[in-house]
Amino acid sequence: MATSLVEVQKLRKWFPIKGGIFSTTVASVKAVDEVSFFINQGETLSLVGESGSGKTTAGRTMLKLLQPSSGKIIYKGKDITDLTPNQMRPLRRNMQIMFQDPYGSLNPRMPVGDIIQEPLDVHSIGTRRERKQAVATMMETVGLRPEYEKRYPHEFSGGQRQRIGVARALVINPELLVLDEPISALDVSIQSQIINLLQELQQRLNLTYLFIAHDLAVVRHMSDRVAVMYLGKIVETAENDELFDHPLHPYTQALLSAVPVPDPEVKRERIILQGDVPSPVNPPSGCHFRTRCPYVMPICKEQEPLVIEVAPGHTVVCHLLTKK
Amino acid sequence: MDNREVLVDIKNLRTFFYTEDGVVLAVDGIDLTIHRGEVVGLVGESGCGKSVTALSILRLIPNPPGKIIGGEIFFHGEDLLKKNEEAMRLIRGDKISMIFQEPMTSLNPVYTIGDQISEAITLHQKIDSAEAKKRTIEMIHLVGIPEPERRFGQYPHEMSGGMRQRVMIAMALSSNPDLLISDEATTALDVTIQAQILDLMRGLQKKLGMAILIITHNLAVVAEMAETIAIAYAGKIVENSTAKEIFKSPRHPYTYGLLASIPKFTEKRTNEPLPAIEGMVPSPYHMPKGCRFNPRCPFATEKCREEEPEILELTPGHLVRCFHPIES
Amino acid sequence: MAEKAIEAKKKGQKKSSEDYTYAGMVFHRLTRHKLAMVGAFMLIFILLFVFVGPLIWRADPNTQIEGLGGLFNPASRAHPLGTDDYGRDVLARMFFGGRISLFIGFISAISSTLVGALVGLVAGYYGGWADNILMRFTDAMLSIPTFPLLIALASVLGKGVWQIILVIVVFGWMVDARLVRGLVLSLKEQEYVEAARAIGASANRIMWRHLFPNTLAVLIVSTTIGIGGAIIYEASISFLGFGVQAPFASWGNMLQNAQQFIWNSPRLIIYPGLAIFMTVLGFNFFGDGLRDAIDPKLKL
Repeated sequence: MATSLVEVQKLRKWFPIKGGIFSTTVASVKAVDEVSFFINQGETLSLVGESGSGKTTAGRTMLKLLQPSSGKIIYKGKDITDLTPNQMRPLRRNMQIMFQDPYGSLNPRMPVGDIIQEPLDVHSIGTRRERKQAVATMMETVGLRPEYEKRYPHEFSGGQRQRIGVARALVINPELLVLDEPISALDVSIQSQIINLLQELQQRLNLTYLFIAHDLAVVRHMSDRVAVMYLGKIVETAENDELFDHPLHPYTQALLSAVPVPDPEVKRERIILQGDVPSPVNPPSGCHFRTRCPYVMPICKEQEPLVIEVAPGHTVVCHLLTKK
Repeated sequence: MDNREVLVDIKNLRTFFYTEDGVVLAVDGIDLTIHRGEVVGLVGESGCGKSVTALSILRLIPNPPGKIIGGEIFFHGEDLLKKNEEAMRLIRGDKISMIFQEPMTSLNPVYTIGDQISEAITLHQKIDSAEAKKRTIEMIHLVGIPEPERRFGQYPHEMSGGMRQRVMIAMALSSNPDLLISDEATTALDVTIQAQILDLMRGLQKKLGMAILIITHNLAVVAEMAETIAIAYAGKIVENSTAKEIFKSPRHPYTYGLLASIPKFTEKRTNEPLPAIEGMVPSPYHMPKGCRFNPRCPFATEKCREEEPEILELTPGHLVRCFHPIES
Repeated sequence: MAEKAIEAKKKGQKKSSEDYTYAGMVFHRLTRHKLAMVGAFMLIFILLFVFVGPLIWRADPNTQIEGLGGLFNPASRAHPLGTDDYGRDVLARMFFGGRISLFIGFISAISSTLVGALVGLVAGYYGGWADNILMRFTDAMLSIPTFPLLIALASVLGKGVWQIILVIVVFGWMVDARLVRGLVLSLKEQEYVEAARAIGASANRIMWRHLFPNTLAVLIVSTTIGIGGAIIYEASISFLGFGVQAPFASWGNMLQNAQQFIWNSPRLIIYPGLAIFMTVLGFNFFGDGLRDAIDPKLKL
């Protein structure tokens, strides 16, 4: 994709499990197992999945906060997979992350003005006065009063702390922002405020978002494209409307049918999946989803299904569709 | 009107917390009625008092710093607030059971789940251990866990979150209680597991006929499960009606705002911003004067800033606490 | 929430814990901790005694009274605490001895904490072989028998105040190293550290700007308790003859000196002994209170 801002190809992140007397690697947690996706400039790609799907790990590995086990990460046409931390540093101006936990993601001993200013300090951008000005502007932009720059994180509410997190991520004008469940820890009435803020900022500053979430209603509202993950693999990718109107992978279908809707009149046709998510240490052979799939066939155990482009922009990884 | 017998009748409950930073008016005048076999939803955000209400029913409020300072909680016609600890212990786990959000911390990691369920059984029923084991295996099966005999000997850490929640439900229902209180029991679960658990609860409710008080912040969950819904804000109930009424014609500005602000899963994406409620939930130490919602309410008038509204029955069965309720 | 605090102040309402700065909150909690306040009073008394005392009672600690009649005098108007075996004024020696003991205690406690913190910070942050080497070295130092090393150092470096400080630091940094390393291992996993890495912060910046300030709480407590330990340590070293040399006084060498006169003049043991006891207890109480005050989860 010549036009994509960032692309990952067959990305893997395995975490070794040490055991035995000599602490050798006895097994691996295959958190992210050959994942490929791309994000175009200015768009929002959502990674959805449940716990154990690997979506959080995928986001962090893409930013090289975790070192990939194998695969490639390409940013603006340049392969950054093997860059050292020192080589990565200038690039970090362009790609930032916003965290889920409003309480753990801010240093409790730093005043919030300093927290927001830190990216500017690290990259030596501007004079001291210019930096202070940038911080004040950023605080106003995200809806915080600049007078509060000397206050500490514990004096702010969860929603306000997330605003501080956004300010910190955006103060150096990055192009790419990874949003790791940015609203899950917030009260419902605050969530919509933050969603609006994120969308407004995206338009204003021409940002590209990788939105990691499990709340499908929010995903539907915010995304241009959606990739569904299960046990370390992407099972389906499509544009927003296409995915929600015509989900093709059995997991996607079950996932969408499970979402409760705030309308007591609506009777949901639930596809209830049996059993539990298998362990990522020992995923099932062939198709990872076969142990819970209502349409499982013999071939699913033998072979891993390939990626099939069912319609432009809509890819599925399932044997049901290879027949065609 | 509900023809069923009134099971729980909470009148003007007030539970405060006396901390070094001030008094937290966690529950400040809550009225709630639960009928036999009814599924009631208690919905609100952090600080609204919903969990404290549940703990007050079971008299599990830590004292200090908390204290139930007023009101009555009638259960089968008797005021629970007047009972002594011994009497309450007989009720907890037997007539009224509760399940919590984090099954990992509610289950003891060093005992098998079989032992824990059996313990719950033998605490309230005079049967021997062999009989208890039999009953336990029945319960494990009832909550949809496959291979119940094998699971009996498993430890909590060997089970997934969804399984552990099923175990909690088994423990809670083992004595066939009249009321099951579910305090954010599915909040920490994945959406597909949540669907399973809600399904299970619905099935068990039909089978066993107990009443359920579902406490959650998730409006979608409560739309699915509850017949009646009470909306709580800053320690008070602001609206109470049938599920259908609440969603179809919300009368309180908070309810209305909340429903308008959540992204609609079933609708196509628009590029419009969400109609969000401005401002934040008030700090429990600094409650606003007058109606507690007034700083965030787009319809607030001078009266709202000065006086607190009473809760009124606007239409039969629909209670609202507001001076300017929204037209239906 | 900060807006609410400003409004609340205007209305004259009581501040809640959300409204304080972090230091303000710690101070507020500390003043409510009974044991800490007892300790604080004891320390304030000792500090006043040692620094203001000589301004009120002007006597030279080293002047010896002529003649045998001046020795071992009991309390009198000329000498409120009496005289010692050299006819020197005990009260004056208590003042100046106290200054030296406190000085040694304070400097060595802070130094050993800083050295230990540095080791622990580096070991905890980098992990791997750096951690291994540093921790094994720490273990080794902990295993060395104190006395022989003490004698060896003394013979090389001589005897005196700075030598004592060095010895205390050499034997004391290991505790803080382990403490800080353990803390850093858990702090490292906090999301704000990951956030700093995401911004592109260097290892140095993360260690000093993010990790170190969050270990300060523990280090301050360790230091206050360490001062008490250092003073006792100084007393022991002086007891062995390696400490502050005559004619200069420290509470430690006063104690050492007085042991031979325990039957003649038990006062000479009681005064410095009591002073050391009070100081160490004061620091321990205060340190306990500080530890409780700093932990925001603990209900005071």
